[in-house]
Amino acid sequence: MVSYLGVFLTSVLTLAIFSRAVRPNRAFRWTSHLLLGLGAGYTAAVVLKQVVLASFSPRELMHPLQFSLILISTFLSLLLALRFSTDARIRAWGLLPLGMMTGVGGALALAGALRGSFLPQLMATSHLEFTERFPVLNVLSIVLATLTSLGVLLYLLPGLDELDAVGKETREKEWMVWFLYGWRLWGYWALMLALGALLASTAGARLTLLVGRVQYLLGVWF
Amino acid sequence: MSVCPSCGKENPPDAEFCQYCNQPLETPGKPPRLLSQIQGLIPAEPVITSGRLRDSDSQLAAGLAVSSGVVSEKGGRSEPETAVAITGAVVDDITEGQVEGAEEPAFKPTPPPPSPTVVSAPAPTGGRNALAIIASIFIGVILFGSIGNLLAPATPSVSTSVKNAYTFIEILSSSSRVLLAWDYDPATQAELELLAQPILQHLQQKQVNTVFMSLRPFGPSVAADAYNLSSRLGAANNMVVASPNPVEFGFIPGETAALRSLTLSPVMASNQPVLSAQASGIRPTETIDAFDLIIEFSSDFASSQQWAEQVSVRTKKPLIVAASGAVAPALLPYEQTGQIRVLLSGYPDALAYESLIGQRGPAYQQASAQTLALLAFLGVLFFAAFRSLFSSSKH
Repeated sequence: MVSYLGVFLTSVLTLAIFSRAVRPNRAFRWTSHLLLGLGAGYTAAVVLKQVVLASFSPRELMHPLQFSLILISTFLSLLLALRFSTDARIRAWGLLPLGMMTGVGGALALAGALRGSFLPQLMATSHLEFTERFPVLNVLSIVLATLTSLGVLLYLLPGLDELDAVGKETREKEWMVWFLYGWRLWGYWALMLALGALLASTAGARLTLLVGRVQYLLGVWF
Repeated sequence: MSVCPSCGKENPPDAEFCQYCNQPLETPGKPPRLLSQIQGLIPAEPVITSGRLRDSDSQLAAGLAVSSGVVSEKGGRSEPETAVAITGAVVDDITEGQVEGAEEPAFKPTPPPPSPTVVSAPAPTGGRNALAIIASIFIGVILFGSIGNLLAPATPSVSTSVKNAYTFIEILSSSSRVLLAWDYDPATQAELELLAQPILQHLQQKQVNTVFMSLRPFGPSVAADAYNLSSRLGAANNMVVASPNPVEFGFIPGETAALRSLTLSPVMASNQPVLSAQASGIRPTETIDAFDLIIEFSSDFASSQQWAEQVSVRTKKPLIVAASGAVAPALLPYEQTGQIRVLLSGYPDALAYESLIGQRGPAYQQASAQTLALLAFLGVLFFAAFRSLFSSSKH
């Protein structure tokens, strides 16, 4: 009986979310609020059960190493709670665990970005071989696409109006104008291709989600 | 800002419901969104102080002023100042560069046609109807595709990535350990469970020891769902499902720091080191190399990036990422560097993996609906493109 009720409730809530396609309505709003609230509540419950209470289980507390770790983390948590104090001198002690968390996280992220992303991808670019005959062309095209799209994204390049104005004013600088035109064109094409690929794959993923939900409802009711 | 008629509090201009009392903000007399946007473009002061207005332009502008609700609010008659402001600005916008002459300073707006029936603006149903029609088309083709599954391919094409992932699992023995990371939420469960199912089934066939963990609070929940579904499917297909029970390391908070700890000692990184060590047989001194294979199911780029940055640079053990189709293109550079040994993504890879393990599972059941939905998407896209081209060529 309870499972039937759950299935019925799930179906109604799914239909309420889908009803947004017809027009914004209260059912959609209430359901989305319910989803957000449940999500937050569930997260809090999981953290409490799987992180906080799990660490304090008797089996873990009996292990000396684990006990010392729990002691340190409890001490740091209590220090963090001092951030709620109204006294500025006491509140400053709460910066210790905060600084430790952000410092360690930042250092790991920076090292990871350098060692795990920047260097490997720089090395991999020099080994790209999409076509066996002209590997150099591949590397060149990637470097070109990167530089040109960066030029467009960072607004390093003058606008088309400015280029037109420069082209009309001075005959001597014509090659520079054409160079900048080409740069802009390459940059835009590189961006369009990249964003187009992302859009296509995102659309495919969302269609899969839609099919999954609709078939779930079909399976429930028929 | 729009003021709520119910509680009187201010809301953002584009809000359709009050943020405080949840009452609808749209009143019958409120102009539709498109016309509101046009009104937003109109400056308060008249722009044209000289110039001759053509009859057609003045009628158009006056009609716009009526339909935008400004005139009707004045009881169906236009106030001269307001009408001049609106018609002047609209004509400036519409007939840019077409205003004839600059001799006559006087500007006489044509009075609006007498239309006492025009009291309120038309309901803003155009965009919504289109959205509802498109949604109906999609749901219709999915329902149609779900009947009979006629378009399901007998032998789907299998990419090299899928073959590689299959091989990595196929060479495992019953003493091997696999770490499964469940980094997705219920919102993307329908997509990623398709990928997770055949992989789990394959691991169960090989009777491999599995340990699962997650960087997200919802991870243990979606993992439990996937294991349950996998067991049910295995039983339905008469497969051997007597594989060892998975060991749960649970939700490990901390993202970057959690993964770094995991590489040093997976057991100590979990929230219950003593229990985890006993259940998994991994000693606290063992590193991430205690696992023979790592598989991450991911719905977002950031978590997969963390796995590639923090874990795969510190171990030679292969990392397979089964990601949502939405993030797969962004992860390709990590596959190029070899940090992600195999990148699986989306529905096609799920279908291919099912065919490799000889099972017709959830992905196979969706084949026709997926194909038709994709065709409908392309149809809508092409229709919109042609319509856009046609309308722009008319102008």
